[in-house]
Amino acid sequence: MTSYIIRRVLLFIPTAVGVSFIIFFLLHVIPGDYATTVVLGGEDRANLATQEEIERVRRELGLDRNIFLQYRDWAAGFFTGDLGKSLTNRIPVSERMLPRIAVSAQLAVMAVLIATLVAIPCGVIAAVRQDSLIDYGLRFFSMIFESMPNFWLGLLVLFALAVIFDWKPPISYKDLWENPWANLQTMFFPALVVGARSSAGMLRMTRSSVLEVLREDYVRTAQSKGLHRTRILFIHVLRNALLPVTTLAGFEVVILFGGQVVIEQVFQIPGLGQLLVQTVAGRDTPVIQAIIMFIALVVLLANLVVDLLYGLLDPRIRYG
Amino acid sequence: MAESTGILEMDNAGNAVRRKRTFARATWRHLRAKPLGALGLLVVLLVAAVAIFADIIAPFDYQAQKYDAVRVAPGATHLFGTDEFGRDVFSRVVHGARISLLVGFASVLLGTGAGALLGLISGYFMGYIDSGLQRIIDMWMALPDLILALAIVAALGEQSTQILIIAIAATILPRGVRVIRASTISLRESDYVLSARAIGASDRRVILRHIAPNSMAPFLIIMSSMFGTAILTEAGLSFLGLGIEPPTPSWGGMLTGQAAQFLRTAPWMLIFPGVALSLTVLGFAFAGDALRDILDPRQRGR
Repeated sequence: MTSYIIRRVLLFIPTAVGVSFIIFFLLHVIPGDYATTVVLGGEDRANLATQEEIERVRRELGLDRNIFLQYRDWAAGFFTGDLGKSLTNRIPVSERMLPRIAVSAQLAVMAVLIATLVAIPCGVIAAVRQDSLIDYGLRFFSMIFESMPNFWLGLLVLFALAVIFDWKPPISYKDLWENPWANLQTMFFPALVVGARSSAGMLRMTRSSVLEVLREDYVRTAQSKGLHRTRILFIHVLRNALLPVTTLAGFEVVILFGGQVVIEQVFQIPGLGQLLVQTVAGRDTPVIQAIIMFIALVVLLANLVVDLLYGLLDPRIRYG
Repeated sequence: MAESTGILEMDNAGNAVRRKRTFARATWRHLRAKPLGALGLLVVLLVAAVAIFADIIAPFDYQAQKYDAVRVAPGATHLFGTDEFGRDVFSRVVHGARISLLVGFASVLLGTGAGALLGLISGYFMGYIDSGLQRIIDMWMALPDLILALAIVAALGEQSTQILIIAIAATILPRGVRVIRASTISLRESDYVLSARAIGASDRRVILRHIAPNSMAPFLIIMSSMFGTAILTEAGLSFLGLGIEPPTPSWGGMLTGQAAQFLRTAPWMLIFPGVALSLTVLGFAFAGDALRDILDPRQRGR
């Protein structure tokens, strides 16, 4: 087990470094570096930027140096917390990101909770009652949720709330610790929408996984021994069937972050995704690269945790 | 399809024709046994037809603004109503099909095509090329689709349909690599590949003549399953204002800003583009599932 952990953690480090490399070079090597953006103040006045001005800003920002040196400084900044300054308002990147990380994390946790609580029981029911009306219904709905763009689902939820209950989520965002009730009011529906999509995939995964285990010999043995159905389901089936679902849960984190970006926009939640969209529109490269790197790190960590968990739960993986 | 052509080469002509007919009959049988698949196919064909004949179907110019007919409710002249500029929503939804399918098709073709090529190389040669490439793919996949696409749009610094296609293709590419690599690895040890190599066929010939055609089924499956994702990514980016530039109508773009503001007073602005988008993606999902059942019998009934 120890060697498995070490191997897996050692794999994490080069991957994280590689990802940072890809992100940094993607945002730097391609033409039109962001000195031009600074000179123009994010506005479309291309003819007003003189070459000298651009050169001056480039020197100020250190963009005229060797790209590998720039990368080294940026990567080192990750350990010291100095990620540079925003181009548009000169606020340190970390300062802009920190409060938003908490908001996005809360949304993500709530979404995963909702998704899991809905998906796993429904998936198990669908499998146990295979080919019944309830099975078809659940599968049909999961496909619908997967096909619906979640920003549209979000808009529909807002629409329904407004028309049916004449209710709008509070416009201004409140901190969870400051005003928990107002906070949950704003966060519940976005989390529901993000979770709905994740739960669709998880439901189908749970279903097919349970179906597979139900056909195993040891389940038949348990049945012929005359064990009670519930006992078979919980002791023999679920323990084995839910293993692959944990992998998927890790994968869902990836999808979740994509979905959250859009949903934060729909519900006007001041999270990381909203900041990302704003900064991409404004070409604020230092902020963009920091956010994307942060998201990548979260995803890689989630995958690491899932793999370790998997190794812990399933001895076959450890020695494989 | 690939399987029947493979047999066609070995058997005599009469036999080959009969095999082909069985394939068509099997497809037909599957469509009847899988009504959802048939329905999906129907939706896809319908949307494709709408996209192709958009100019004929749309009753109005999708850009024409009529300030005396702003936010008109759906009715006889404006089937889906009009938006905040008095533009006909029906015409815009119809033209939106064109941009959605265009971006979807181009990015899926580019992404899976490039992915398949890398997958073939990675799976066939194994060794350093393979492990190196797989690590890069791992890194690539650490970024969620939409985030990766956003990063590429941000990096290229301007908005255009081509950049959008490249950005979406980049999100599809790693899945193409994975699937084709797996299929290549299982094929490279097969008897016919070994015998082709034994008689001295070059790597290039083995890959192109033996492995690639037999990887056609997984290739088509991954292509069809990526369609919906590609269309959703395009819609998401356009919704965020970073995809298709207005005034070109895109389903995602039509749901931005104003549509959300007029949620209560003009819900048709919101409902019709969203329905079109969801139905199209659902159609591709059903059709893709059916295709997978037909091409990959092992997965049947899952």
